[in-house]
Amino acid sequence: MTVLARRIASIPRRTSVETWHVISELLAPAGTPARTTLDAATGPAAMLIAEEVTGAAPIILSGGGPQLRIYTLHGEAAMEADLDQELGFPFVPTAGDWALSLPASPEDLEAVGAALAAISPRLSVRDSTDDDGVAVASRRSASIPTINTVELEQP
Amino acid sequence: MTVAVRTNVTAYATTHVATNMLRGLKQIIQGCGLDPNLLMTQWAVLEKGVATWLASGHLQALVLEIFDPSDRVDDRRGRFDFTIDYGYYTDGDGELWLDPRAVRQAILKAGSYPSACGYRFVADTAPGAPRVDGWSDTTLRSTAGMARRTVGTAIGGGSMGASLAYYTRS
Repeated sequence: MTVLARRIASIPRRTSVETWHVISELLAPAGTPARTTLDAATGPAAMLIAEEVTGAAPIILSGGGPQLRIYTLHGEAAMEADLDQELGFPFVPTAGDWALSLPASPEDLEAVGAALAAISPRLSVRDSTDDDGVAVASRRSASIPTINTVELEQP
Repeated sequence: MTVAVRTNVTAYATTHVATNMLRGLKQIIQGCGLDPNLLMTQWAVLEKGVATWLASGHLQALVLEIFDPSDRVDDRRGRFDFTIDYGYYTDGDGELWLDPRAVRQAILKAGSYPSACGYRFVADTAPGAPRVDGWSDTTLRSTAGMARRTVGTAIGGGSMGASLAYYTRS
């Protein structure tokens, strides 16, 4: 499985909502059908970003192309981040069939899951403390030699 | 260059304090047994308003009012206030920090509420505050007969500090 990763500066460089808008723009540029879905998820997604769970566990977009993993940077890492590294993808990740998984702490799973289910079946939440699937995928991606190292998922 | 750095410090402190007050509200809502769905649906409007009014210096307090909609005589059940002190650090170089223990202590002291209770957010702003979409004018419920207790400063950054207080019916 090919995996591409991005790290997006968040609080205090950006508010949680501003951070989600940057992520949404990477995944579904304005005017695309998927953008409406991502905009509708702003509340729960921004809340999870504010909780910093997306700093350690990625937002995962799966579709027809590579799996995309978006992490957020917080604190000093966000303040010192080079925003030029927040590169867009050379394709529209949500152009075809796609699904987005958000990480959440165990106490947020039920409420966030219900909120996302009411928006779209393409959106789901997973336990950020039980990310075996991500870890397995990370080990696989580390052996892929053809991807720009800037984009490689770090193990 | 110094001016640019100062601008960034101020902007970062504003964002830090604004977002972490919302995190504190979430912690209180969940810790007190209330449904966090309303907070999630209003998150963007809340963050926009709080960040805007912190940046302009108009936000005096962010208030969480808890009430029982079935009680037509006196629906007040509890209240939490984040009160802003814009001169908490006189040199304006305060680090960005958060003390979740202060929030936990307020939750512990205030106790839990029936899940049927509702809540709302009220921003207490100084005259001249800019308008922010999604917010409307209102009046806080009376605190007559309620006891206010402060647990200390929960969030700091730049020149700002946000102290947390809770109210209980006496």
